Amino acid sequence: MSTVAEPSAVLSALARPRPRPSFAGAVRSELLKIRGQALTWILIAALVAVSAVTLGSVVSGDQVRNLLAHDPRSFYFNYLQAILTLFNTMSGVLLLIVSSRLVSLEYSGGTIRTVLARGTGRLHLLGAQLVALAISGLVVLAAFIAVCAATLYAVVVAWQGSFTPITSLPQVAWTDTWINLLVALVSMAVCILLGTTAAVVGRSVAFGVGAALAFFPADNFGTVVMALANRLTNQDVWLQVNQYFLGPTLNQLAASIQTDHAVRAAFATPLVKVDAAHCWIVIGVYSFVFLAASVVLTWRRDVLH
Amino acid sequence: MTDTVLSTHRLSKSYGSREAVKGIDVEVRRGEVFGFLGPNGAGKTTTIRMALGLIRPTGGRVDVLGRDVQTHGGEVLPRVGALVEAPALYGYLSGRDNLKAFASVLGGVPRSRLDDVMELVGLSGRQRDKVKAYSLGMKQRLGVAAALLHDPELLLLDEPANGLDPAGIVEMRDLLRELAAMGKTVFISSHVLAEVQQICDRVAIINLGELVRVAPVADLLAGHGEFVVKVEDPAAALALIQGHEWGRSARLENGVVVTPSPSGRGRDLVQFLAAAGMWPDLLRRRQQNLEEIFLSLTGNNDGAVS
Repeated sequence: MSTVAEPSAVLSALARPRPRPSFAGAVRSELLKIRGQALTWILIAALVAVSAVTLGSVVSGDQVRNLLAHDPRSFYFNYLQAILTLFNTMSGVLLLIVSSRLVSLEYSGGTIRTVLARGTGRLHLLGAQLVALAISGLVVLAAFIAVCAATLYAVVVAWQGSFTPITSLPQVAWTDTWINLLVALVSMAVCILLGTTAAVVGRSVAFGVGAALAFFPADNFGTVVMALANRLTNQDVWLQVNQYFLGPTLNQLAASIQTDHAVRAAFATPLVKVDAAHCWIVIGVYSFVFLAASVVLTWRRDVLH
Repeated sequence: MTDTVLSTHRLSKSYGSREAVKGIDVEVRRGEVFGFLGPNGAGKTTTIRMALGLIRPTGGRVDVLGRDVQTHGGEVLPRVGALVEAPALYGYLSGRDNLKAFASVLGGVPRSRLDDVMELVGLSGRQRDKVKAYSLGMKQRLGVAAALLHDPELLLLDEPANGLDPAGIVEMRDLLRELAAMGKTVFISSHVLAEVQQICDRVAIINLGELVRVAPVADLLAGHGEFVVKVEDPAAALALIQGHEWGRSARLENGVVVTPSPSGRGRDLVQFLAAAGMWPDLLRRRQQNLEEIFLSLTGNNDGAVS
């Protein structure tokens, strides 16, 4: 401490505020932590790179060009489905990792005790983390929508000379656009809740990130296992159980709402036919359980880290 | 405004069947530098964590600035600065961003204050560097800076000298004295007993979760009532003294007799020896250092103090 300033001079300059925990301040603090992690930017760079490659492949080729020329509606629906799958997958990985790391790093680094020792309530902090993650997710979604819209505009204008083939699409196309946006928002919310819950349960980065990332592959693979079990045992119970898996239900959500045209999910879907109400209930129950587990565990457990 | 800024009332904490803290009653007064000492596993950190609302007591309560910290933590803890164990910081953020992150949680901290506290702990030149590149001593100083951000009335510091070099320890001591002089209350847990002896007004010593002693440092150092006596024939003097009930603990140390006095006063000891024809060449009250007192009170002879 060889360059320490004269304590009295500095300390006397400090006025005496009456600080109180601020929710907005806590959200700003969490956003600063999200921005400060190099991994966040690496994942966003990966999202951009994969999106560029995927969008490039989607809008290139004569087949796609012919589809736009002869059936703009099908072209648009295919485009929507491709970007929704791309966004749900990439933003899912991004949000699962960022949310589980944001929460678990507080425990594994011990910073949770520094934050809570300032009078910030445990649930206050958890709420701020969830809001900061939601804001981050919305920023990523907005940027993704902007890039996809710009790409669509550039491709359509380049191939057709104007954007009219898209602007003249029937109302159902715009309804489906909003449905896709809603599904993307739901998917983001579920990923944030899942990542947060895994971190709160495990209180370590390894467990939090590992459990969060393993969940969807596990229940997508579980669908294959259930199908196999059904064939081996001839028991429908496996199919009935499978309809309550979260991942397949999320994959099915868009298709269950968009009834005007056939939508094929990119990943596993429930082995029995489910409707939109079933999907909403399953997703709602999982979300409630994730949130309740996070709240109760955060509230009840001592901070020993 | 209450004169007691921190008090524990029959404070207990159990983990399963193990009692980490057993009904501790401690009172810290406004403006004093209070030392909290105990060997490893004594319950110091558990007590500090309960004072900060990080863990819930099994029994009793902690009042901070006059309010129960479990029910009014949001009201009183913003007026407390804390450094618990090793400094917990965001390694991926710069030193300045760490302070911004902590400051934002409570809000109302102007940017100039970040500079002020950085300067105060001697980190102005490194504030843009990532904390993961900091040495332990620098992290410790940044932890103290974070504790001082909101100009707290009470500072709870767990091993603040950890990782500091000798010059840093001296500067930390000066800083704590300066803070105390400004009327801040400092509650410090340290294993550097010589430091505690130099800066604390009072100390509490706990062992195995129980409070062993709370006393002003000056009383503790002088309070054993023993005298160092130099006489011509120390062996004979020792035998004479040990022949009395009050002198059973007398002993020889380096050729001098270390003994209690019949009344606790030096002149009565002189009179006793003189009556036996053993006029002392030298008699003075024995000054123990805090480490010796600590070890005698806790029965911890390996010097492992935390």
